[in-house]
Amino acid sequence: MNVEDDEDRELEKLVNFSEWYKRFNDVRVVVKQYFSDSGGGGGKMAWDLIFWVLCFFINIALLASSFYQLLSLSDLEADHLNPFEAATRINSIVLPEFLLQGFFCLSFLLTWHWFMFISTLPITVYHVMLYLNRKHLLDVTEIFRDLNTEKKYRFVKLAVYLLLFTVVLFRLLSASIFFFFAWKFEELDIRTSLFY
Amino acid sequence: MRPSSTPFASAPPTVRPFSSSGPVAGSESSNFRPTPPGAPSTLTPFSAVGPSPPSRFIDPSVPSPSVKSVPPSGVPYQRFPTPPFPSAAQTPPNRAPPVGQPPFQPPASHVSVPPPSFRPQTQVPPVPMGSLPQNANFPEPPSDPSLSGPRPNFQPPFPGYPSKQPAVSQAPSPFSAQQGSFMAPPAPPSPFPIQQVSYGPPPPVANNLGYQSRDQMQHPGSAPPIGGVQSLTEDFSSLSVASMPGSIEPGLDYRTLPRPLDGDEVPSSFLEMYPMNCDPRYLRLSTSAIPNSQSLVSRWHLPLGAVVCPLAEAPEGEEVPVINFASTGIIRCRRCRTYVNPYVTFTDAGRKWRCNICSLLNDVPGEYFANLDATGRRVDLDQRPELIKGSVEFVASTEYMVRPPMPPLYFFLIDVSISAVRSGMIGVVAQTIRSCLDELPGFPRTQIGFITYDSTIHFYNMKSSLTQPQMMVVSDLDDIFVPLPDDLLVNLSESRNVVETFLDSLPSMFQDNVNVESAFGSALKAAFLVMSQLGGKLLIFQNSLPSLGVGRLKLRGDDLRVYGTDKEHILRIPEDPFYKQMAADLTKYQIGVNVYAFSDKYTDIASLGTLAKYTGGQVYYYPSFQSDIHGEKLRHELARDLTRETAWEAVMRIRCGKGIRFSSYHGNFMLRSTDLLALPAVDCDKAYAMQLSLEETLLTTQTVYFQVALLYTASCGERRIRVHTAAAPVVTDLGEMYRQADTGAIVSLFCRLAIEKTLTSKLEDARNSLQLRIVKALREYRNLYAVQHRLGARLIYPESLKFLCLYGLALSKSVPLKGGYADAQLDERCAAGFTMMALPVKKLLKLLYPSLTRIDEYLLKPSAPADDFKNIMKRLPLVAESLDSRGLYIYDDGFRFVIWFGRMLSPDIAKNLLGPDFAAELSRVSLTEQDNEMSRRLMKILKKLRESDPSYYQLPYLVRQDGWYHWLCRLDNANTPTSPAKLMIYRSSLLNVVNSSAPADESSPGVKTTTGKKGFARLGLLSMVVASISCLDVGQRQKTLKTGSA
Repeated sequence: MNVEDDEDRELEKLVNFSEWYKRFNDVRVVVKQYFSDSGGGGGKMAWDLIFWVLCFFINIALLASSFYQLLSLSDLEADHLNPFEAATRINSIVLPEFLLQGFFCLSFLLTWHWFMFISTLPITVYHVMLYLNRKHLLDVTEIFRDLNTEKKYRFVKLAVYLLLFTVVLFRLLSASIFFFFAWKFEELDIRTSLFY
Repeated sequence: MRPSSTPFASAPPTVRPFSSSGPVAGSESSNFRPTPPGAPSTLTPFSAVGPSPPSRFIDPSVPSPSVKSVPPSGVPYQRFPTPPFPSAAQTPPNRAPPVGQPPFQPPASHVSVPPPSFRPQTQVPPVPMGSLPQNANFPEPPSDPSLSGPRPNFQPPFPGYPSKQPAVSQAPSPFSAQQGSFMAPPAPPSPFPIQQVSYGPPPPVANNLGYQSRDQMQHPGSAPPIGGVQSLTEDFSSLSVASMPGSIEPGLDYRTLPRPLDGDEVPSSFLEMYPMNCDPRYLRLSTSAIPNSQSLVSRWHLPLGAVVCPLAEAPEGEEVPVINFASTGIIRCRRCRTYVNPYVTFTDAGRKWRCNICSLLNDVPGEYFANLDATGRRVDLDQRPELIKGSVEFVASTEYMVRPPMPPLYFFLIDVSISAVRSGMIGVVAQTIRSCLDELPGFPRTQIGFITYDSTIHFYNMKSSLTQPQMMVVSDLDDIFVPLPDDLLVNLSESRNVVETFLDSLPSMFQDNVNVESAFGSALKAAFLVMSQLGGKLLIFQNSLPSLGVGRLKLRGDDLRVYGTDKEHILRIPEDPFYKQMAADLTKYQIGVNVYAFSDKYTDIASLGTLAKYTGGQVYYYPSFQSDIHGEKLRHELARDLTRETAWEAVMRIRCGKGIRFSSYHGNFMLRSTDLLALPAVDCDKAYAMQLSLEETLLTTQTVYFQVALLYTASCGERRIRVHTAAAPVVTDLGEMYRQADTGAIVSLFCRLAIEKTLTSKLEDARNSLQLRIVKALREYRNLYAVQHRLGARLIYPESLKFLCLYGLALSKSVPLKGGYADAQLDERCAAGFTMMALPVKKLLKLLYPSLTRIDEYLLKPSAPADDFKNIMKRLPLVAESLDSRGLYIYDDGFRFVIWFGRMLSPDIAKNLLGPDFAAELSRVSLTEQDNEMSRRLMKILKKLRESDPSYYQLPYLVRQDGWYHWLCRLDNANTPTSPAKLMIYRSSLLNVVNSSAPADESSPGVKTTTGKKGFARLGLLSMVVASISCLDVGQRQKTLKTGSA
């Protein structure tokens, strides 16, 4: 009885293991397919990772610029900064930010990341609109009148960038996990083949 | 408007001695000589003050004992029942009481019986105390109506004065005694034979009938002149829009409209309440009763704020005292940096002082210490102007400087292209500058420099060792550089000869210039480079559209289609960001810009004016300048610009008590930080407006203090701080806010808000929002009283705002706001906008409602004494009836005279005034002095008028009656023609409006129109009234036109 029970248990374990193993097998197949499809072996995976790393840094830069502008504005409000300096500081980074953001958005379009593209699109459109209306730069002379709206606008932008940041971070992590795990699978693959 | 004849007109000054002398009995007693019968109680206030005087100095929150100055008569002294007006249905209390009882009429003195809440905290004893001597001074018989006029709020509860007219606040007109129709400037004599009384609320016949008769029934034998009910209705003024008795047509009688014929009226009650406030010419609040809660603010639909004119010209003898604290340093609050002022309180035997704005206890520096006397006053108070005057000037020490005080500096940037040469502008400018060289302020430190430009830029080396100025031409417009490091800007006294030689030769130097280009932007940059070391004043004379180099502009504004669309406002803002950036840079380097524009074509004032706007300057615009016509105007205005006292490198800040904050600023300046106005050059013709907002939901203090501080460099090279301090009570009652409103300040704020709105939206929207706010305010006011009264078909408004509608109308018809594309040239519109953004209150009101005077009688009078100038200059209302075709009139809006020749004016007069060409087309005739008495007299009148308002030079325009309609249309302020059909529509909807907004009132007589909800909802009450005002005027005019031409 005992023995049978034990055997049963062993059997169960075996079955479990084989099921578990099967999954790996499937993954391996998928991974293999994935690489073989892209033609470059691990190339596509690497490019993906590189892309997300790039996005990550762009996003950080955008965040930083927004934050810096906000900081300058609140400094201005608290009278730590005079309007001339504040306007020069902010205006000097407005265009780079717009360009960077445009590039960010465009790169999603080119890499067919629809979701990311659509979520960055509104800001891009808004930027383009501002630029075409020539309202993208702070007006030194009326800076205090516009202060609140400008701050609000930058707060909203900061929030959106933060949101994007979480998404990008997630994608970056998944891409890197994918990448490194896939590497492991490759290794696993070799080792497991020794078993057979 | 304040009657100078009454015994109290000079009251505030006399108040002080009593306040300062406290309870010393001797001095008062002398003033109590003619103690009225039955007034032993007069002494109570003093006895009340006596025992506990210091308390009020120690702690402002302790109610001052003066409140207790209730006569011991046993009658409850109800200062201010909170719904101040017992309902109409009730028997009004205590009408014409028996002699011997204080006839105190609680609600009546609407001007400002202050609510009890803020009387006590008036830390200033003079107010309550001061009123006493005056009262004691009355020798008059009890029922003299003139007593009531000026100071109703201090009416003592004395027996023996039963017929005090309540509520006659400002205008003790002859009629007030009889009718209680208290509005009115005394009616101008002739044109309105029918109704002398009519400037106020319609006489009781029309509307008050109901009340009156009822009232009479209830109180047979009550004293005739006043009554409680009267006092109820008198709390506001009203305008009947019901049918007038005797007229079939329902509508508004234009004659009953109040008209500001006495110009600007400064509410006086405020000053009386706080006699140590600065003069209203420096600071005016839109209401001198500050609301205590957000909800009150939101119900006060008018702007809440202040208009500040820090350097207003003071009349002889009232100059601001200059105080030098040399070693002590300027006494300021440690925390909020408030300057010491009359409202600070000294405690702790004089060792500490409490800031009135943030109530922090500060130490009194050793050198400034003085003992307090028994009443808590400093013993040296009389030697300390800063502790008794609302306006003082401190000499600032080096800690208030970032660099040594700059010398006065004038830099001229003169366009010498062909159009400038042809118009003769250069000649006039050169001459004027040369003639002003002696009067430029700041001798011997004054600096001066010149640049001229066409398609190239010409610099002038004026080194004192030269005999002739050296001209250097720079033609590289893209990369501007200054050819000489110095000597372009020279000390005037050293290089005087060179400068004079230059100015003499300037007109001839360019007389053959055929260059049509204008490299304005580059020249501006060059001037900026030269001036940036020192700052100063930059005067730009621009004669054509900038066409070369940076900042070149293109023609715009001639596109009719843009008007009425969302892009309309773009025409009114600078086209090229260069101008804003440049303006900011100029301000940063303390350069103030005044723009003189002369072109007959489009010059884009919107862009050029930006330079003046953000540097605290102003725009002078002379369309189609011709030196023989406009030369005099330019000469005068340029001379004034150069010679008036100017404050250099100034900054201004206005501080106010806890809980409130100045949230927005309006005018020509740039904000340096959230509440600091940078004013590179400021003078007496500039005013700034600001709006208040409440930071806390509820204000707990009972008085709010405001302090304007202007830190500037005087022309003499001294750094100074001009400080104006004012206090205002905090109220809980909306009615009080309305009563204390100041129309002038409100209109000034409205004007600036509306002009700013035209920069971001359509003209239409700006006008609408202006009207909407006035309508809302009046409706709110109506709601206050609608419950208590049967208002019938009357528009009611507070006495203080009786002219608001009219000014509102005038404002929406002023040049920056009126009409659309065709009504004013774009440049004219923008120039007027820039000018009006800087105008002080008085001048603005004059521009909005110009004076019209008839002068032919004076000219014909055989020998008119020179001194009755005031009598001649009687202002007439601006309606067609005022214009008699046999008359000669002067219309003066502060910027120009229009001299109107009636068609049937005797030809002698015309001949005498105009000389041989009197029959010619008047627009081509210029007015020059002829060799006869009449002409000399006219010139004298014009001169007098000009002297009364020297900031601008008024050029006379001659108009004959046939052409008058055109100038009325063309010149500001007149009414644009409206079709009779439209007029009828307006009238009927006006009736609807009043009816529907009145409480259900079946018995309102004479109005059968059914309620027109649509009309009420869509169109505002005021726009209706305003529209009907204008319609009526026009209607009358059209009538005269027809009859005239028939």
